[in-house]
Amino acid sequence: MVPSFPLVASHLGAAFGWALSGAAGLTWLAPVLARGQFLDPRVLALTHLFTLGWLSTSITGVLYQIFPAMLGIGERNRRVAWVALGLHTAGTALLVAGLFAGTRALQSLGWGVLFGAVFLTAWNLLPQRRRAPRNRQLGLYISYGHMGFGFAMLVAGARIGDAFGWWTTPRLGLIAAHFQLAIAGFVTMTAFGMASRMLPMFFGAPAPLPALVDRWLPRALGTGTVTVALGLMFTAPLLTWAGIGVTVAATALFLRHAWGWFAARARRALDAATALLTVALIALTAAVPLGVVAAIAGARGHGWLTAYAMALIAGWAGALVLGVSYRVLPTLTWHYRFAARVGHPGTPTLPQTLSPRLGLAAAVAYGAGLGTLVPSLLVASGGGARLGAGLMLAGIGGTCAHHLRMFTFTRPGPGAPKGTA
Amino acid sequence: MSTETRVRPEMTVAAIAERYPASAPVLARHGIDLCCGGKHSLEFAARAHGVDLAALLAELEGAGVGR
Repeated sequence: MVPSFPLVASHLGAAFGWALSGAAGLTWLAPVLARGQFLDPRVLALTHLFTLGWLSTSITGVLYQIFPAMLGIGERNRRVAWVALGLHTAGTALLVAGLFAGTRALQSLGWGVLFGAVFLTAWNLLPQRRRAPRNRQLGLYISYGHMGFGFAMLVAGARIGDAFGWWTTPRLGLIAAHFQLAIAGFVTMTAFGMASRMLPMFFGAPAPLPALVDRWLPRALGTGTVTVALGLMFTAPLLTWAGIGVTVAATALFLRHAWGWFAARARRALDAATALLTVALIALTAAVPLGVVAAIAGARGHGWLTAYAMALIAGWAGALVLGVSYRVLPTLTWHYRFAARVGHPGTPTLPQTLSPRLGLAAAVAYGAGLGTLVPSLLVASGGGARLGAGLMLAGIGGTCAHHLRMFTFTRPGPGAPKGTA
Repeated sequence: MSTETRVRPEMTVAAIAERYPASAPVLARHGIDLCCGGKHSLEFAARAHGVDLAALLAELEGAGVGR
């Protein structure tokens, strides 16, 4: 079973559109964020542009790739996948506009449309796990991840109901629980499942995640995340800290293996994909102490909070999806355009369709931007934060240029590897 | 040399990766992965990546794959 190129490429194309607008918005709003105004409506809109627009759309696109490629089974209905993409895009636009303008009606409408999109994607993919001929454990991470997404949306719905005056909720506690459910419960849960298969493959490390760790990792992360969220929502510090302890232990366990794959990598020199995956691991490693200090400092430690959020959103998750795009898209694009012409004169090889220097430059720009942005948020430097965001924008722009070149490739440029497929 | 190894050109990349974990570093060095499901043969993957098949088979054998 081969993944659908138009479906995966459309998701990733839409995601890159969101990523570019998000990085441009971050460059504009970085000084606001550095001042600690993380509840500014513009910052809330920007955060959802990244999470719902870029990350969630990318992850869904990659799921349509890995279900057939790794679980050996496709989605239930291709048309539903396209409808879900349309709803997700429209819902994100409505919600982001509603948050930016502070319009409750738009926020509610966006939330409702997004709920429909997430439900359709879950209906289309999750039941397939039980029929999958292999890799069902990966399907479990994805199912748990979608449960996290659903919980995060319910908490967001509770906040919207509060804004309408239907009931009263603790604002900061609910926002913190919503963030944790979305980033740890959905993004990190799904990413742990995908990364524990993809990182050994991309780094060329012969030892996969041990079966026992693979079995308990999603359960530990899920338990920890839900416990943290409950503790934050009901202002129960003991519960919050118990959840933090379990979440940190699960993350440390994943990181121990992930750094082992990095150390055992087959090619010492990094390419764009492996460089970005390394940036993602550095960001996740940094996010652990940042998050613990942020939890101790609470709302007063806004520098720690924003640095933690940025290390997770743009660092761990952002660099991960960018890195994976450098492997998924070229392979799929080459198969779509050239696989049927193998053996014919002039058919390019896959490496000939790539631009390694452009890809590596984009990865370095993104990593340098993140390395500038996160410390700048910690020390409340608006200029540094803007510089970092600008470099990240350049990194995402460079990645888009790299991928567009691949789509429009006609013949190898100077210096490209010789030969035909 | 290639006839002495149990990895054969017509075997799929997925089958090789699953059966011989030691093949991972060799395949990764050439950018060959399972992103499209690994359903193609090693021979096809070698052509796609512009890698000499005989050299790839020798490299796999050198890594202890199929012994």
